[in-house]
Amino acid sequence: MIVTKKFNYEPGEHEAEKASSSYLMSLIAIVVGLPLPIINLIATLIFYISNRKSTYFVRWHCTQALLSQLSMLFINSFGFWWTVSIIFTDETITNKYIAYIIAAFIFNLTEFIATIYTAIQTRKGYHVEWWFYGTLTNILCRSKS
Amino acid sequence: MKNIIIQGTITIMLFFGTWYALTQIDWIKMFQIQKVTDKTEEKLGELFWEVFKKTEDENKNIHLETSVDSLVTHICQANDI
Repeated sequence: MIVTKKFNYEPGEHEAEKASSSYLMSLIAIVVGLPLPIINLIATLIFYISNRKSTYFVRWHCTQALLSQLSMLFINSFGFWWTVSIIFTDETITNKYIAYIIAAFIFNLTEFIATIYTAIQTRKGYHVEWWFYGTLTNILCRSKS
Repeated sequence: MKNIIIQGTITIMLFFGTWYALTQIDWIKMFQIQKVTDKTEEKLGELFWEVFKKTEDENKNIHLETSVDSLVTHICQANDI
């Protein structure tokens, strides 16, 4: 699921720190804005925008962090609004709902662990590519040279 | 490009597959949700009855009780309660 590859060039200390921060940003946002699914996306988006003109290594990891948050937004938003409708409307707790919440929790936990691992590895200067998101980032983010 | 579509489809299918697999388990029974809901309903009913008893005067007239009862029975039967 996660592959550590060799990057085009050896990233510097400053770059590794910034790239690692993009993942850390989403982790902090998850803790702070837990019930609201949009908070961590906004946090990574702000970090992405502020690093648009940064070096390739930093841009690459900011894009990967943003993409992973984007897909989690769909899963979490659906779960969030389903829960809200159960609390405030006539909707009741069903088997499907509980199964969805558990499935969403498993995916969030996987993403959370993967983010922690990637944040540690990128801080060391390693280039970590995720399944699907890594390939997608390779298409979206290109080297300027 | 082909690779990314396959990977994306697998990821989406993995999520829906997990969801579908989890729906096969009877969570309602496992977490005793029906029992908890029934208990909450009973407690709420008692609470409301206490409030009504305290704020309003209870009329124990037998004629009134039977006519209200017959009304309630009709309404309940019509709504499958």
